[in-house]
Amino acid sequence: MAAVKETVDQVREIDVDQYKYGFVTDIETDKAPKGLNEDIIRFISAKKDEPQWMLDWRLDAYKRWQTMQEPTWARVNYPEIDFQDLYYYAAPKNTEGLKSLDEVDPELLRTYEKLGIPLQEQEILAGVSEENRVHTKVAVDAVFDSVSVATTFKEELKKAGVIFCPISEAVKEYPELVQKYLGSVVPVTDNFYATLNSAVFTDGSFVYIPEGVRCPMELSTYFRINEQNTGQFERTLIIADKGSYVSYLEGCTAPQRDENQLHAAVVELVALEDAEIKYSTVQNWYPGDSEGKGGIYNFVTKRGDCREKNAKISWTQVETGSAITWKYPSCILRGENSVGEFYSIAISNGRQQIDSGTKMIHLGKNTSSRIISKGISAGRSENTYRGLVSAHKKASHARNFTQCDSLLIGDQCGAHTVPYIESKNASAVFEHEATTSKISDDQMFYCRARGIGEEEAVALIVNGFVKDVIQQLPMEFAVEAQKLINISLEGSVG
Amino acid sequence: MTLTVVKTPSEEALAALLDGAQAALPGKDFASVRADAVEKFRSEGLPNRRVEEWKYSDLKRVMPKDLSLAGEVSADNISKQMAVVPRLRGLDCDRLVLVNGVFRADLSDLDALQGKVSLTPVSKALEEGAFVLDELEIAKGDRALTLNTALLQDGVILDVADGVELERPIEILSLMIGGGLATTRNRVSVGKGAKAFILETFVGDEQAYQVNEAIDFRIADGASLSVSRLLSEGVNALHLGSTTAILGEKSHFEHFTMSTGGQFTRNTAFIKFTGEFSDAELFGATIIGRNQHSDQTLLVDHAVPNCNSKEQYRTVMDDKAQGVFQGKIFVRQPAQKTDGQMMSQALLLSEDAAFFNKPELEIFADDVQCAHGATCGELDEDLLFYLRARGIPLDKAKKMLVLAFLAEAVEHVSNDAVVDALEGFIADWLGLDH
Repeated sequence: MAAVKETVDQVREIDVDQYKYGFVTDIETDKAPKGLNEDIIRFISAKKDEPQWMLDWRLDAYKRWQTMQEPTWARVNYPEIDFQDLYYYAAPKNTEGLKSLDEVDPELLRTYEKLGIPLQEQEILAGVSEENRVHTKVAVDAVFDSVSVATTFKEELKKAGVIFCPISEAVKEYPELVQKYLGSVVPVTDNFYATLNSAVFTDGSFVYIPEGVRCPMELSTYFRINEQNTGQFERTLIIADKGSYVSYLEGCTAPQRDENQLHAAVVELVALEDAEIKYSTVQNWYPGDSEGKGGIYNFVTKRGDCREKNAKISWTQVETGSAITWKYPSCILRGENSVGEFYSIAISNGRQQIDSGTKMIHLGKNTSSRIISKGISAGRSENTYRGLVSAHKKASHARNFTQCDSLLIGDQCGAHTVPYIESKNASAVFEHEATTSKISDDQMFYCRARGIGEEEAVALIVNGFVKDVIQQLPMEFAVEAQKLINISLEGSVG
Repeated sequence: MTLTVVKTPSEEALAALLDGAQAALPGKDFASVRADAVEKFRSEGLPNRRVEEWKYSDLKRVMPKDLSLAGEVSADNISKQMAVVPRLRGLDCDRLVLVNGVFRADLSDLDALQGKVSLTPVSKALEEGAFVLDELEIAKGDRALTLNTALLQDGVILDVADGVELERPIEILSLMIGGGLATTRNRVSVGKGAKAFILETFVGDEQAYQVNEAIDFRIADGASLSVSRLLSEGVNALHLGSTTAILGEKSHFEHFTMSTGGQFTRNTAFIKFTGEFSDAELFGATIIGRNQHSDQTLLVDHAVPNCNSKEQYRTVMDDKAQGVFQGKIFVRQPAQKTDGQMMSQALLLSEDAAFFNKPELEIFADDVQCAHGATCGELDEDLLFYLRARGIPLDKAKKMLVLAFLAEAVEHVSNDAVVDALEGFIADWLGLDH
């Protein structure tokens, strides 16, 4: 009951301003000129001091991107994006060549402190009150606009053989790993935004877990967009070598602004034999105001590849932010007996639009996957689950179970379910079920008759609705996520 | 610019056929409607996998290059074919017959319906300028319907008078002989408080023919209509079918589709509720083999409150057959208290068969109960073991299980005689004694 009580308290405490992370950090920045052309790409590459192969890779992607068209199939509406009216590179000044956290601009450190992400080592991710703190360590890579400003616990991780660093550093220091895996899960030509990302990505995290190593702590990247009119294009690459395990967390916020900002990331996961990657996201980009003004366009390509047998990739996401979310974390189940999981809570309120889901592509024998998706729509928002489960010819005895439930709060919102289930193998067994309903009068009556107020009752019921997914989140995130859910739904009752 | 889309040989052949056929088609007043449809086809081309609604049924790929309109057939030939084509036999019903897309009064028998049902051939209504196309909003722009309009030849318009309860089913039988393309559109209106049962049968010979047929049901307030649709086309047939239904208040609509025949079959149903407290039950059973392709697409539009819809489709595929189910329950904002349940289940009997399932929910009202389920798999080993342990050979045990699987959908048909006939039909298809 502790969690429930926490929720109830949270709901009570919520003030009018729902988005807590809408502040702007006043900091001097280096920016590339507005617009996108080959020179900008050369500029980014030069800023990062990249080898020639990386620049060539980017330029190829850019050429390809110019021939591509923006996808229009998702159930989202937004004015056309002017890709020439964006800054593709923005970085706080004086972040180059820093040796320790002491040298980082205190303004930046304060920003992360305010966000609840202390960058001092030995600290832990906030969100849990002092007495409840679980003393686990979390290594954080903090990405501010286009650059990584700090990565903690690097030394300790190195002792275990784990590489955890900004991807710009990995390109220089571990070129053979980057060259081998970058673009091997999400090809350069995959889709419009992934190709754009390949051309202009600025930073992100690189993780390599060597054979047989269980990563000694949770790894985490915190993305923050601060500058106006910038697009954030981060790239994350995680490789779990044979028999290894890693749990990775991703968080994100942005200031409250009237204009829309673009965030087009690419995340690639590679799990080799017997390896497991657990990837959790709490996405809380600025969602725009209640009239739909401002907010982040979150167009993200996330994909994991269970490349060898017995590999496992698990995606857990809590989507509460962004004006528009367009995101389908997927698993390619190539290795025999590999496992893919997708647990999602997608909450839309105000005028938010979410088109999100997953793809489970069964290529190998005895592969199995599970999809649990919980969508909650409130206000005037639109929330779509779009998912693909497919079994290819050789995927004998593939197994999938999908459950997607939608909850509607208010009569002005929409909840949609668009599953694609494709089976080309007779021994594959696929089950799919979906429901859409509102909080029933019976449930409300039950709670109210026990003296629980209306808002608290809704919080209680919603918590029950999303419980299956919350349970999949690492402890620190679960508490944070639960608070976030309640804040996101504030004002949607009555 | 509008001509740039039509570019494959089969599209060009079809465009030429559309142009060439216009002058001979009935109804001067309808000519401009047809011309618009031809123009629309020219600007869109044939539906293919890049068109979302046709993602799994690529008509562009299967459309042949040599196309012609179906011709006339001798009476002798007709009776010969009627005797051999697989259809429901021994049913006590009134029958209307269309041969190669043309209504044949000489082969039809409606004497028993005098005073209860009025019949007008569509060609006559077209000539008299009395045929008005009034497409449902959700069906507008459907590519198969566009082609239907562009080439509309004939069909029957049936009006069941208010309060009439028909005792026997009316069968509308469409027979194709000698190849070619036939395009028909039927219309059935069931008056206030009336009750009717329509059996649609599609049969043909082994030629590579094409049927593009549409049927519109108008179910008035308090009316009840049951439809059973048997697609038992010849082995080389291409069938495009479009059903639209508009339900009035407190009405009941039952629609069952049995699909076994044809090389490429696409069935689309557009259902719209316009009055409160109505029910629609849509069921289907498909069994295909060889390299057959069968697509069942469905769109249920809940536009008003307090209506229920239930969809249950079962598909069995053998050999290299491909099955498709696309269903969408669409609940508009005013349609509070909607109950929509959709289920699609598939059984794959062979390593090379494939099934594509896309059950969708699109919901804008909050006080609703909507659900869909989908399963896909092979025959249950335990069930097979149970039967085999009782001395039933493997092949027969499999067939029994397939029959039982499909029978669960068939049994929703409200006419017992039709249920028996349909189950017998499936058993025949499987080569099972019954």
